Amino acid sequence: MKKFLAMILAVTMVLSLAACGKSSEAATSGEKREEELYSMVVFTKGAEYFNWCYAGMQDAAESIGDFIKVELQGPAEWDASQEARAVETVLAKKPNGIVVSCADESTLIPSINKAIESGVPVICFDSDSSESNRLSYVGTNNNTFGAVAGKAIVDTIGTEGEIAIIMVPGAVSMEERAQGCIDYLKENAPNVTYTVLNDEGDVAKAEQVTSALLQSNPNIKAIFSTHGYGAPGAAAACRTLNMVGDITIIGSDYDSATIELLKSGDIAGTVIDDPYLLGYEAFMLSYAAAHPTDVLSGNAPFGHVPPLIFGSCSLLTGKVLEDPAAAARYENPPKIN
Amino acid sequence: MKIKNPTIKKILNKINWHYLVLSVFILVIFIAMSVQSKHFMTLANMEILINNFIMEAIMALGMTMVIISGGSDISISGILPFTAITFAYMMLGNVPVALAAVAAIIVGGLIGLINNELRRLLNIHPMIVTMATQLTLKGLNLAITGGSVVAGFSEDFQKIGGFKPLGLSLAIWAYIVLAVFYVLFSRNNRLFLNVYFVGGNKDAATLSGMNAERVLRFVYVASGLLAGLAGVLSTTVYNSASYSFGQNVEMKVITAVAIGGTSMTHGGEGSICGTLLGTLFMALIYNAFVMSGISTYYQDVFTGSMLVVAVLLSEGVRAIKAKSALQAEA
Repeated sequence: MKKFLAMILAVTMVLSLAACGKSSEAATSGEKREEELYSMVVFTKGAEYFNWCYAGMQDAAESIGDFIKVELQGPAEWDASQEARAVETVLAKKPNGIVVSCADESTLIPSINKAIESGVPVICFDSDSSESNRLSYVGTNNNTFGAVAGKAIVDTIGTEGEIAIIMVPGAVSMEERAQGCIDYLKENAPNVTYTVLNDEGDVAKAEQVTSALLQSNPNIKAIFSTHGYGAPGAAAACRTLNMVGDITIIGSDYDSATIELLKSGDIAGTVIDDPYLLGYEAFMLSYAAAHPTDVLSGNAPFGHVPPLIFGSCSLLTGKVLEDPAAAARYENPPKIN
Repeated sequence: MKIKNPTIKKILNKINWHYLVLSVFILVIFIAMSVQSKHFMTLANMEILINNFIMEAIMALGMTMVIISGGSDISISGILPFTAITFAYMMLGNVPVALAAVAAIIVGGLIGLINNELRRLLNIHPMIVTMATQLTLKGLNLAITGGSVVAGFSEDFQKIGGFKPLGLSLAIWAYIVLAVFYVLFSRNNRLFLNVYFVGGNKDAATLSGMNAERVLRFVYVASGLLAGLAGVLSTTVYNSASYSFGQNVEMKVITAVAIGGTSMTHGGEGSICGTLLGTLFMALIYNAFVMSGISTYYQDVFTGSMLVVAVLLSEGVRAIKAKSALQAEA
């Protein structure tokens, strides 16, 4: 709760700073403001999760004024080197700010640092590159995220049994989520043991590895996927093996497929953050960083931005979606060109 | 319309219509982008345009010879990350940079040699063999790294990526040297010229006393070496190595080669100059889509359409030439 309040406070501060900048600049100049470009760079462009993020960025930009232009760039593949190239290409357009979700911690460091050196503020969101010179990170505390999944599992299967954790080894956010879940289990259900499955971030592969595991180990009671594609893959495996309802599947994030599987009961729950808000906040931070005030910031020559903002996370279940008002929030994903 | 004037006919026959059309496309895109974006025709963007396709460009040189020989090598998307990871681990093991780089590139060459030997011994189509190698290497890349990114090199090493003699990155210098070498050798060197003969008709080449297997060994080893070089350069550019590097890179490389006019259906036809143009076209498209703000979702639609146009053009020119040759004989 404290973190949530801190986040709200930080966002309010940033919005206020941005609004102050806007009103003072608008007051002094009656003429049309010069166009500003802000770029969002992601990996797996086209993924519904990042469409939500970009929708947040678009709305945030619109709230400031029509002189703000935004764009979504990045490779369709989960390839950090291609994403680094996308950052560099975007940089050639001399944008006013870049917000980026990093495919891995290290590979984008040179590109992010190059942008900062050339005076373009970079804000990381969703997936960080903490060793780079990025100004701020807007994301989720992945340990807490994993703990929410751990609690959902214990609430369903009790304090004994075997579970599987689906992840892509090396992806820091997933490793943190897995660790958060493991830590929760160690503390609250030490008799629950776990197996780690690598699905390479692919739904078909998730189905394959889950099917193999469920056939070879009938003691598995629950599966936690640390990313968005794992739970639909595990649900497909359970359907093939006629095990729907026997295995508790807890996913991460949401997209249209996950929402349908939650409604049908194939997936018991999914831990969610708010991608729309992440995109919204990340843009606001980049705008604030691109508009320094008269008060010198710790990031000079950039504007005032906090180094870290953590959003909240919660468990979304089929029961929550029975409420049409709640369901409407998740059922209409934005379509991005 | 039939052209009767022999001088005009001679001139028209000398024109490489494929290169001409491709060059016009490139020129039109350059002009359109220069008008559309003030940031396009800048030195900084030109450097980014080249740098962002430089690994593909390097590998396209080797791929051109492979395709001319009648084969294909899709293992490069496995070799690139494998050699990047090999190089990275050697760097972490304090092996001198030059030695580690040479060793990693040789590893790439050895994988090329394995590709060729599997093709020869098992008598399987090169695409299947190199696909098997690609999958094996992708699995190995994950197994070796555990999915983690290999990083944490010394500060001295990290400076290599930013080292720019005469303002050009090491990768661009490597490409310039290799491109000049390939252009010259593909026109004058017997081994390179033999690739065309083997690709055109392997049996005829063998019957004429040529060691076709030696030629094929050369093209696959060279392709592996260049993919190895791309892997090493990637590690220096990004100061890290990951199993995720080079995803689908083989498709981009083959597309660049095909757009450049190297025939995918008939071995023995194609050129390095065409590949240089095809590579420039691809680099331009990737850059233009980002610079123009047009959704990059349409990038592959455009590239795919261009590939069809290029193949049709290539086949059309081939048919016209064949017809002209028949008429001349008659």
